[in-house]
Amino acid sequence: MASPLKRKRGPVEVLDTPKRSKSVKDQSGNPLRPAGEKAGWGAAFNPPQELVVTTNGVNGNHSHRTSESPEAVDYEAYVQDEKYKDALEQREKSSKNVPQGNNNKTLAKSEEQKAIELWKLSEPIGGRMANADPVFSRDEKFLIVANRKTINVYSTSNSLLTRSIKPNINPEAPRYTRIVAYCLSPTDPNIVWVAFSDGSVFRIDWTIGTGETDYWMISSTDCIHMTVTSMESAGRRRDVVFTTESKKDGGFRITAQELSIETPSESPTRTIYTTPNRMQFLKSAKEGSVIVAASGNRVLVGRLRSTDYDTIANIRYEFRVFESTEAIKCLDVRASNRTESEGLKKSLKKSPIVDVVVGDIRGVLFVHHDLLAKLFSQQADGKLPPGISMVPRKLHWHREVVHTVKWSLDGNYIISGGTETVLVLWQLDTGKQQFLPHMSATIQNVVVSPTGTSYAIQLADNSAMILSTAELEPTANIAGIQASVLESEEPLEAQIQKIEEPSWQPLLVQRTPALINPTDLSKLLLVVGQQQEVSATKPLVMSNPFLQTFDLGSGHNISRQAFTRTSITNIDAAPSAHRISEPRVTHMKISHDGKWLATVDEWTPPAREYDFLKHRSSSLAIEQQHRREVFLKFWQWNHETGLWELVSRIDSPHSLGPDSGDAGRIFALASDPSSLRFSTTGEDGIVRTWTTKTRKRDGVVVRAKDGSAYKNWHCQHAVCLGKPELLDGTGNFPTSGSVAFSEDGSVLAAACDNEDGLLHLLDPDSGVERLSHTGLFEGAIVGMEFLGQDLIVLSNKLFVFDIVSEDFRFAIKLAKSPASLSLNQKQEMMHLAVDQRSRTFAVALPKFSSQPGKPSLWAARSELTVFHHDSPEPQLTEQFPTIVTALLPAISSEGYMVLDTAAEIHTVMKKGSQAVTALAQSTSALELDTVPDEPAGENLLEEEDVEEMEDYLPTPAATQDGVDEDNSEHPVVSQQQLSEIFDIGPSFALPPMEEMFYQVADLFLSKPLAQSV
Amino acid sequence: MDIHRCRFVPFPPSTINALAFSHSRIFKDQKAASPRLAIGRANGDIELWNPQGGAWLQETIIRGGKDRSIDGLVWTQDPNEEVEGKTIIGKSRLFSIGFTTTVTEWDLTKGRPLRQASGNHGEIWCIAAQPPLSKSEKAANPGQWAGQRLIAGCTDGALVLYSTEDEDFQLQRILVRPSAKKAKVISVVFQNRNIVVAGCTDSTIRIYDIRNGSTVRNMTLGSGPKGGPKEIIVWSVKTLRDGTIVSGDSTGEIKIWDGKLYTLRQRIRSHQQDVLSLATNFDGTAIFSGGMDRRTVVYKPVGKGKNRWAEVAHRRFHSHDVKTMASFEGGGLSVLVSGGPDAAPITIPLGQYGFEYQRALPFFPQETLIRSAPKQGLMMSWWDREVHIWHIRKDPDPIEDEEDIENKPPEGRKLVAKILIKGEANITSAALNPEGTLLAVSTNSDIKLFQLRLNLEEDVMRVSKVTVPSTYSSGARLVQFSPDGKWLCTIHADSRIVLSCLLTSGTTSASSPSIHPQQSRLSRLDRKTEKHVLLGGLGSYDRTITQLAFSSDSRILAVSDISGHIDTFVLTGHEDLSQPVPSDDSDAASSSSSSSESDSDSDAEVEEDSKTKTIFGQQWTRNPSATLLPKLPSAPVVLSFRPSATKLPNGTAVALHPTRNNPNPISHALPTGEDRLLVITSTSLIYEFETLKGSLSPWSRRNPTSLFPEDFKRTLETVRGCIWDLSQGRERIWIYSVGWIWMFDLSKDFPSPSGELINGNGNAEKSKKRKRGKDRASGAGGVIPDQQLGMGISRRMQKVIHEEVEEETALILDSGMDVDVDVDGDDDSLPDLSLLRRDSRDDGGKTPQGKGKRGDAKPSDWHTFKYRPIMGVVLIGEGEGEGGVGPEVAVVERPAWEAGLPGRWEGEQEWRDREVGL
Repeated sequence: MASPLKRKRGPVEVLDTPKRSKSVKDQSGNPLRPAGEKAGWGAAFNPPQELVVTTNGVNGNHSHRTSESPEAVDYEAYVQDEKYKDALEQREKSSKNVPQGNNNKTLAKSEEQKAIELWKLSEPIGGRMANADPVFSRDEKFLIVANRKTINVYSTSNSLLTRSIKPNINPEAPRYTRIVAYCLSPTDPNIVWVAFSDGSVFRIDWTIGTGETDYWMISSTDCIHMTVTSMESAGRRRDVVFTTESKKDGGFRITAQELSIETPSESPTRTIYTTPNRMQFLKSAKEGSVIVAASGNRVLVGRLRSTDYDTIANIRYEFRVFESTEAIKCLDVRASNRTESEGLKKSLKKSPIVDVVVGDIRGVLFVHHDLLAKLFSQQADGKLPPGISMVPRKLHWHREVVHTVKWSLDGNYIISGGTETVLVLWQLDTGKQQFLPHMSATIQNVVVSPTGTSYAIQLADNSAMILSTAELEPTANIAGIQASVLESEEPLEAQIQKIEEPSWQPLLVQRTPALINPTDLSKLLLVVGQQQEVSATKPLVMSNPFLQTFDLGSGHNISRQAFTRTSITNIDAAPSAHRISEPRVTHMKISHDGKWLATVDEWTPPAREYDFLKHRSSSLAIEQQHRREVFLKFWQWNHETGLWELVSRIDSPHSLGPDSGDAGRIFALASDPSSLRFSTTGEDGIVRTWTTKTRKRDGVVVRAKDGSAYKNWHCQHAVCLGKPELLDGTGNFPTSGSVAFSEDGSVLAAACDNEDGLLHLLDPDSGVERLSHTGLFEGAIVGMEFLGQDLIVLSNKLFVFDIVSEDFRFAIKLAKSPASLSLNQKQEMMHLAVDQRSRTFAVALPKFSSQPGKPSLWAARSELTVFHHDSPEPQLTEQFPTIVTALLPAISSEGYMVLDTAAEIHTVMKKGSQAVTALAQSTSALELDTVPDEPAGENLLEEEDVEEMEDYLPTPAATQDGVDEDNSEHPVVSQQQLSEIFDIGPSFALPPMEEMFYQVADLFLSKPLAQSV
Repeated sequence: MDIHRCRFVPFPPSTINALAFSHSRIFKDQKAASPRLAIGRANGDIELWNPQGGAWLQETIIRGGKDRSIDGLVWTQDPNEEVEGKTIIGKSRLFSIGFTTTVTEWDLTKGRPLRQASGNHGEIWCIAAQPPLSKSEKAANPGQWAGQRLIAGCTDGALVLYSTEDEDFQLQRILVRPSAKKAKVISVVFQNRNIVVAGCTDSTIRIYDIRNGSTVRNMTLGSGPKGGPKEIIVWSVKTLRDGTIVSGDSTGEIKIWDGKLYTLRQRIRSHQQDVLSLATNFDGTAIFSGGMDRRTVVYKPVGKGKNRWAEVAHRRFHSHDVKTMASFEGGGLSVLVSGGPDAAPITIPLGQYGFEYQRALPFFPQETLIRSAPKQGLMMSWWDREVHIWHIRKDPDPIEDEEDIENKPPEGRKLVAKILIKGEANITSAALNPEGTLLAVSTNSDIKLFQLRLNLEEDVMRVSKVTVPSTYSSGARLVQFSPDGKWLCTIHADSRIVLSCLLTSGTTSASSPSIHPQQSRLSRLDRKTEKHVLLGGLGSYDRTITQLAFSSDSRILAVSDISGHIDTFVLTGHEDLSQPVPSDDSDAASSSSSSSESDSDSDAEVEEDSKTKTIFGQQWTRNPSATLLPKLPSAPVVLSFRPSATKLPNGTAVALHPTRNNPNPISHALPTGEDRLLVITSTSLIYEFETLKGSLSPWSRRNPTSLFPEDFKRTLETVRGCIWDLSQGRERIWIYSVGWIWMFDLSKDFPSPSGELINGNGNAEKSKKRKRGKDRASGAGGVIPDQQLGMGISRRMQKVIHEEVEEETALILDSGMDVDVDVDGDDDSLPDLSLLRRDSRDDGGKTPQGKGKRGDAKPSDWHTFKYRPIMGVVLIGEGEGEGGVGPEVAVVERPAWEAGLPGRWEGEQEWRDREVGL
């Protein structure tokens, strides 16, 4: 029943390396939707109809100097549903064309093309490590760790990324296609087999990075797990890939494939086991003579019936299946040669001793010694011979699910890890345990190196480390972005009923406070939590007490420090078995000089702790409010320690109401771009401005060692927005608010929610209200930023308001679906950022597809739109397959940085500019090592690249003629464009000369170069 | 029924210090006495339990005394003898130590010390028996004595050898001389017939040869862990069959030592506190250890021939230290029993560990320690040497439903008397007469009688002693008043039955009552036990009388013994109080007692007619149809005459304390009153006999045990007593055990399964028996259902050869014992399995599911698991006949958590702090 598998050629993609930064983005290989697709932005906004007319912002449609809400450019959304997208596109196009006439049409088209020209999205950096066992190279010089879609090779000696290989997966693959398993080929140590969740298997030579284009589809449905073994039969040694996947007609199976590169078109395959239950784990030992698989709580042990087969199509296995106690989370097999064989059946005398350890979702480890012989030693009458005890050893230390378990090479130890963040080494002979506690997060995978001298540990906080076996000291550390990510599938342990923790309803993903240090532009500051995985169906209220500093230039984690009280305990649960909740940092801003950091964190005690007050108080929420803790903290950068030091902590900077003593939430925090000043607004509807004061003791200035005076932060003034008696009378506190400083720090705009969209402009020095204007927002105010003299306000409508002329430049109404989100969803998932340099602003909006069934975040995605402040026509519209959790201007250049729930950072930038993240390259890409030897295959590939590129180049090429006509002949390169190339950082951080040359050349040569490279 | 739920009886649980099975393994074809488990407690009691195929029964208690404790128990087996072609099974002998310098041998039949031996050495801490001579060894040196010697380890470091030869018991030699320097010997065990292994307090295990007393080897454990004491205490040593020595010590490790080279082979850290006890199975494939951390850990060998052991699993079965353990395999059982300060022995499956449930046996005696005098509302309870009497006042307005006694004001009861018995011996039995004016208390050394006078106004009680005849100085096993209060029946240590007439009992005069000097001695039928049985094994132990009941008219007396025999006696003649009370006839008494003693040895000769005396014109004689009552398959645990239903409306009667006045007797004829006797055996078989006819009653004939409800047949707990409810024409009986109360309506028949003859159950029984052999539990709590298994492996396995499901096969064997389940060497030793109605497929009795009344108005049975653990249920009131409530009873509970255990070394969750060392 061999069904030949054909090796397929994936879509060829030119990697967006700096070398070829000018290359046209590949349409299909990129997970993101290409720009210019109108459907996307139409889904998030009701796009304005008469865009062309409104370019200068003085639109006749709205009245001047009125306090009334401007006439938003309204374009009735066609559809909110995804399935009508095609129809939408067509109708949109036609509707656009019809009223505008021919002239307008061409003009609009040219505008549109211009936008495409101007902005692009870079390849993402960062990313989440795939939850699969990392792979050591055979010489242990490299560790291979996979991200969602890439294979990264790290050097174990210096923890640097050596090579990054991105297999080209099938363009039709589902959105969430990811790597499920990768194994080193036992036959050829340079080959790593990579299995994707869509059922494609790649054979990649990780030493040179080839093989990323061709793949085999082992299943048309999916692939759950994979293991590779080297088997020899009929005098031929080959790699056999065992996979477990679901069958088309229901049920699951294990298949064996011989995927040979010599005969790529004809690969024999054989199904060796089918079952109605999902099989989540597969492992082989002893050159494929033993296969162990886990399916729910069942353990499958299979042995090869005969080594005498010619092709895989004739391979036969015999299985024994028994049930363990709970669903199996992890499993490991160790096979050793049998020395004594007395008392065994003849057929088993030569069988290896197979020791299996099984870890389940309740934290129990079961150790089965010599499992194979015991299971197969059944006598003819179906009975086991006497004296055989099938009962495994039960090792129960883990309180919760055991994520990983491995045998040591000698079989004397097993190593396990789980949510306790403790690496446990079990000495099997004596029953003693050795602990390595306080790893930074849940241990997800542990791998023993081929010589047994080190362990590779992958943690749930997107980091991996290598520990020496003897001293348990780290020798290498790899950390990625630790912002929250969406889980890729529901974990097995979710079936255990646990005490309910507070979760977000309706579903949302919390925003990640993030910013770029203005003094060191490659440093990205992120507020992260200990856990990162967000459940798709039940997102918990996550705490994020840590600051992660991430170097965008190198793609490395620099440091991590605590921002709030963190209760790291041995057992991360209170005596009532609840998780200990930590404060949540909601806002973070940095001062213009990069020396001061202001953070806001809030903590609400869990409701369950006040259950006993139920009889007294009518509402538990009020009791919780009484006990809420909100802190505004000011941190100063310490050069010596390289850490932020807490200078001032303001307890309850805003109260719950005018007369309340309870801490109120803070809606917004803004930093003055010109002086040391921050501003906040909160639930009491008051805007407070915070500034420094020199610290004095008995009238004498307190000075540090270097003579600089210590500074404290205090509230300079508080301005009450709106009428306090009104607030008092209704008892309704504002539920949203925002503050923003103008670019020069001369104006502070502040608003808290009210019905008529009243917004105040204050003088930040005196706190005097200069101007109030109504109708500037609708519904809850989500964000507000200044762009030059324009104030951009994001609410249910997006307003661009010129505060000098007191004019609306334009207003765009949000489509129904984002506008109908709940307040929490809006506050956490809508993002607004301005880029002063390019005079643009960007908006990221969530988009929930209205699929029937249980709501899930997997169905949600985000849409990013970049507007120029002059035009309501978006400069760029990008559909992210994930959800954006942070959006911030890339201060170093024109553009934005986008952080999403895949923990990837995308850079949105103008064409020709150099993204900071472009430097985050592997050392091999930078070609720091060795002589670049270009194998014939690579050349071939590149040629093919060119060919394929031409297929879809025509459209841009045509527009090029229309718009950039002069560019093509005499390219005008502005100084700014050059500076973008050269002024991206200190000289030592500059890319290699070669790179810069290409970039400069790109500017002058534009398109043709890309094709000739 | 009106129920008062009482938890105020402060019965103190007593620590289990020692556990010993009379055999550790009984082979299929082995001729051996039926196994018994001896439990030694800190209050000096030795309990004898019969495992009887999983229906654990506490048969007898050998009562201890003040400041006596049992710290070690050991059984020996005299060698079997061949006499006239018949095998006389060697005698099972029980020895105990109690932190003195003596070793005591016990007479199980009389419940008294038989012999004592001591020597010039320190206090004995531990004792062990030499393994019996195996067949091969016997063949090698035929002349060698095949019995078992005892070795005792002393606190002064001495090891002393005691000989049990020639049915005697004496010090043979002091193997190791005591000296001041020597460390205490804490644990001792024989490795083989000649080599003895002693664990000491100075981190050393010493090996001696008993033939010459020479030291074979000293094995040191090294110094103790950091921060702890330097010296490691070896709390327990055991040897496996292959000679391997296993030790458990104060570091929480068990160590496995090579049995030939005497070197350490492996150490396993499995406990967080001291390892206190060890047990192994017979063939040396499993080790169990129990420790101060409450854990019971199981070890199994890893890999074949590697001689490595590994902890397989651990659990906390006990709520306190696991102090002692004993294992038994054979007769279908494979079980480990462990005990400690929480007083409840816990049976743990040995062969089927993890596949069967454990079971906690009750920590209070099988015999209910609660009595009542319903007329006065008195309730009495006793333990050790104390008797407590409460006055339970009637609730004037019983609005509250059942079980609300806790909410009642404390005035509902009052402790009116607290009597501490003089002397050292513990109380064996106590009784109140129905009027609540007399209290009889028996110990092993004497019987005391007290007069009680309750002053209702002040609610106080005056207690005065009543002089008793000198014959009472020998003590008694059981005492009981007849329902009319005229007779006091005492069962003496040698199972003699003595009836004494109370002279002024029943009268309200303040004058002190006295006892008629003439006593009736009754002797039981000779059951024709064969000589070789009597001489070997447990001897005539199974003739020990454990139950006694009077009929409600006090004219029939029934006694039963452990073997299942019931003897009945009747009172004939008119009462004629005009007869003179003879003066104290000491001659008669002494002669009779001596003759009865000789009787008891030859087991009741047929002279009883000459012995029984006519008292006030009445005479106790053996029931002529007593021989017709059959021997029951297991020991009766409840004997109760049905009260006469033709009584006055409020004359509701009790099982043990019926309250009916004597009807007019008919002279020189058998009594005509109600003679139906309800018998419940330890395996929960329920029979009703018509004693005067010597046959089963019609109800019992119609309702054999096979027709009883399935739920009832599944229960594991032994019945502890019953209460009759005959008010308003009802015929209900309430049966209770530790965990449940069950009501049966004797006026109704159980629905009979169709297609099966009620009486002709021969074929059906046989097929059932065959089925049961398979899923019967091995002595502990019953089989764990597949979906609840926690051992990481299922019972069955699927075999798949290349995509085709071939078959399912068993992975986990039933215990190896099952092959010989139904074959027993000794017919009498185990109950007839065909009559065992027990079906332990499920743990029905363990889940507390109170079951409400069924749909139809008057069900024939009803039960509840609401009350537990039930110490006793007694009648405390007449019951409101008008309301139809039935009798008023007190359900006395004694929850273990209220009992107040001694302090623990290790608290509840201390391991959390210590764990990772953070």
